[in-house]
Amino acid sequence: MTNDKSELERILEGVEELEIENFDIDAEELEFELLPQAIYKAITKANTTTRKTEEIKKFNFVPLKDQYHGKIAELILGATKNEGGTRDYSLKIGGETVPPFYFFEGSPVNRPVIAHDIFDMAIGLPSNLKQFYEDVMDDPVEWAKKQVSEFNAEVITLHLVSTDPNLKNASPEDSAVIVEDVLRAVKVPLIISGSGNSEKDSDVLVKAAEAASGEKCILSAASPSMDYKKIAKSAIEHKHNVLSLVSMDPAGMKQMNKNLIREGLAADRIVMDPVTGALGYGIEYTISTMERIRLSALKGDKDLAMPILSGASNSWSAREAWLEDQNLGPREYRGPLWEAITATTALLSGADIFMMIHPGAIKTVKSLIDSVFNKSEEKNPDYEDWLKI
Amino acid sequence: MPRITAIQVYELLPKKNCGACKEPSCMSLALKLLTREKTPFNCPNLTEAERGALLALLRPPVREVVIGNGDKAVKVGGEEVMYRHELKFFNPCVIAIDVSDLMSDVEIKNRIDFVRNFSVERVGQKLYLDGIAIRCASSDKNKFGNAVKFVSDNFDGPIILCSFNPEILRVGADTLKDRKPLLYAATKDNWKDVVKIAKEYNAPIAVYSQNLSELGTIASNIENSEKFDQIILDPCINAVGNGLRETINNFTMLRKSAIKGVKELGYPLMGVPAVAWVNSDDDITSSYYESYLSSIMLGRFASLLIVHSKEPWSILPLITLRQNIYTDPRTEPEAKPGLFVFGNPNENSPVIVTTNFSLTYFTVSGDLRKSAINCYLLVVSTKGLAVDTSVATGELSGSKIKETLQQFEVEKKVNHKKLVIPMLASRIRGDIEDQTGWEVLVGPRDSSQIAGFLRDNWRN
Repeated sequence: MTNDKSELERILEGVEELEIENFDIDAEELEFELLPQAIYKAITKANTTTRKTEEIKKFNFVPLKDQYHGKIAELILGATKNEGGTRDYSLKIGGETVPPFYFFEGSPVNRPVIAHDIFDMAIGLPSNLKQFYEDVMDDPVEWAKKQVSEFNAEVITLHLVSTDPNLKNASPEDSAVIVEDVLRAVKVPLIISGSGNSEKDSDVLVKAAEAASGEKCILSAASPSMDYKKIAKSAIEHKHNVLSLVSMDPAGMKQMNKNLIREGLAADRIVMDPVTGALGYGIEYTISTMERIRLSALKGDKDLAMPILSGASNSWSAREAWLEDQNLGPREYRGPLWEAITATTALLSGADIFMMIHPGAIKTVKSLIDSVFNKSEEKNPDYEDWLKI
Repeated sequence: MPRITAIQVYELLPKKNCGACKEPSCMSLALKLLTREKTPFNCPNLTEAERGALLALLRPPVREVVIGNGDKAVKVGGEEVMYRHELKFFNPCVIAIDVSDLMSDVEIKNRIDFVRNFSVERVGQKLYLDGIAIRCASSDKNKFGNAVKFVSDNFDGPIILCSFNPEILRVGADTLKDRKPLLYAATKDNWKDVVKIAKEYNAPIAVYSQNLSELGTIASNIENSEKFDQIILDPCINAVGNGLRETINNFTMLRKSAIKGVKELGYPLMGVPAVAWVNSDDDITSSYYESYLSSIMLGRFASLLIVHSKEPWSILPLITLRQNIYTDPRTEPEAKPGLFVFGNPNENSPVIVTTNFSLTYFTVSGDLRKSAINCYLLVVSTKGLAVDTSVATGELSGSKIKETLQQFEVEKKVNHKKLVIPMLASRIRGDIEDQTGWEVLVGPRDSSQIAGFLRDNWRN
C-alpha cells in the first residue's frame, strides 16, 4: 500500500470496481455518501446479471446413427445381349446398408422397382381397374405391350393363372409358349408367376424357366408346401432368380432361403415375399415381418439378407378398393389410393420391388421414389401458408 | 436394447411381495410396469415420493401429452420404441380436421358434423376422427374469437388453436376456458408469450421450427426454465420433391433421438399434411395427395396430423392404417371357434364356414348381421390364419372341418347336410366332401355377397 496519491490514482485508472480484503475499520460512526452515479452503476450491474440467467441454453442437434454390420445382397433382374439375354436393360435391386428411408444413416443404394401385372387370360377385375385394360385383357402380348408403351412399365409380371385347374387347367407347355410370346413382344425384365396351385406351379415354372432361359427372370414362387427343389434346379440351369414365399414368418422365411441355397442357388438370386396383406386386412403383419427381416439382415443374418418383394396389388382383395358405396365416396379414387398406400407402407418397411396394377397407384408410388432418388426441381410452398388455405 | 432394466424398476418397489397389485412378486410387477401392462398406481404401498420416483424412471422417452379434458381428452406420444414389433405403439396418432375463421358458420358446422358423425367399424372397433383445428386465416382477433366460440358450442372433443400470433392464441384460449386446447404454435420469436398462455390455461404447446437445433432449443428451454412439459414438436412437412425426403428423414432422426434419450427432443411429433392444399388447383388431386402424404407420416412416427379434406374416400384409408399400425402386435389375432347364430335360423337354414382369423371373423359376421340373414356360421380354428393362407398351408382341410362339425354338433342343429364354403377355399371342396360326407356349395369370393348368393342358390 502506498500513501502516494498519484501512484494510487494511476493504479486505480480505469478500474470500475475495487474489492478490498482483510481490513478493519475502527470507527465510532461511519457515514456513507452514495453518489447517484454509483447507484446507477449498481442497478445496471444487477440488471446485466439477471439477463444473463435468462439467456437461452442452446441445443445443437446431431443425428444419432446406429452401425449395421450386414448388407442386403444385390439381385440382377433381366439380362441384355451381353449378359446372355434379349432384354433392353437389366436392373439391380437390394444392396441396402441401412433401414428403409433412414437417410441420415446411409444413402439408399438401388431404386425400388415396380413391376406391372398382366394375366395370361381375362380375369375378373373390378371396373375401376378393368377400365385401363379392357381392350387388351384377352391377349397377354397386347397387355404387355400396353403396359410398356402406355404405362411405362419397367418390369412386367406375367401371371399364368390359366394353368389353375379351377380355371382353364392350361398345360405347362402351353403357358411356356405364352412366356416366349411375351418375351418377344416386350424387352423389359420379366417376373413369371404360376397360379398359386402348389401341386402344379413347380411344373409350370420349370417349363417357363426353360422358355425364358438366360433372361434372368424371377420365378414366382417357391414355397415350403411345394416341390421347390425342382424350381431351384431350373433356376440354376436357366440362370433365373427365385421368389422365396413364406407367409408372415421370419423364421420360416430364413429356413426357406436356406433350403434354396442348399439346392445350389446363389444367395444373390433370391428375393423374398413375406406376403403383403392389404391395408385393413393384415398390413400390420407385413410391416412387422418386413421390418424384422430387414433388421436381422442388417445385423448380420446372411440368410435373410435378400431383397424383399411386395405384392401390393393384393390390396384389391380389400372390398374398400372396389366396392360401390356412396358413403365411402367414388371408388375411382378410393381404389388407387388403397393400392398406393398398401405399397408405400411396404416400401417404408423395407420392400425393394413391387407387383402393382393400377396405373394411378403406380404413378403415385413412383413420385415418392423420385423424390428420394432424383434431384427435383419441384418447389415446396411456404409451410406456414397452411394457415391461410 | 431396453432403455431401463427390470432390476432398476424393482429397486424402487417395496420388495415385500405382498400381492396387493395382483402380481405374485414385486419382480413380476416390475416386468409388468416395463411393458406398461400395470402402472405404479397398482401398488398401494408406495409413498407419494416413491411413486414419483417410479413414475420418473418409467417416463417414456417420448413424453405423453394430453389434449382436451374429461372423457373426450386424447393422449399423444408416450412411445417407447422405434419399431412396433419391439413392444407396441401406445397412443394412436390423433387426426384432426381444420376449419378457418374465414369460413361461414354453415361450412364450419358441416365440418364439425363430419368429425362427429363419420365413423367406420372394423374388427369390432369403431374408428373416427379425433378433433378440430381452428386456424386464424383472417389475422383478426374478433373473427377468430367468434369462430372458436362457434366450434366450442357445437363440438366437445379436442381442439387445436392455430396462429403464430400469441395475442390471437390468447383470445382462443380465453374463449375455451378449461378445455385444454393444443396451442399451435410456439416459435423462436414468440415462445415466451405462448408459454405464458399455456401455463395460465394448462394447455399443451406445439413448437414449430424447420431447424432441428432450434426445435430442441425452444422445447428444452420451455421445459427447463418454465417447468412446462406438455410439448409437441412440428418440424414441418414438405409435400413434394426432395423436401419430402427431408421430411421423412427429419421425423426418423427426431424419433430416434428421443428414443435414445435426448431429453431436448423427447416429445411427440406432429405435422400438417394439409399443406398439400396450399396453391391447390383441384380438390380431388389435393385430397388424394393429402391422404397419401398422411399415410407416409402415419407410418413414420407422426403422433398428430391436421388434414383439410373431408372426403370419406381420403379419410377412410387413414383411420384404417392407423388402426393397423397401433394394433398390439402381441395379441393373438384369433377369434373363438364355434357355431354362431345369426338372425333366427331353423333346421332348414344354411351353414356357412369360415376361419378364425379375427379379421375374417369380424368381416364375415358383420356382413351376415348387416344383411339380416338367418343362418349358422361355423368358425373353424385355423390358428388365426385367413382362408387363403390356411388352405395353402393345410390348416383348413376336410378333416379339420369334419372335426369342427363334430365338436359343435352341427348335425343336431340342421336337417340337411350342406355346407357353404368361401370361394377362396374352393380347391379343397372335394376333400371336404370326402371327409365329412356333406355336400359343399362354393360360395362367393367376398362375404358381402353371401346374401345374394344364398338368394340365388340356397334351396332347402
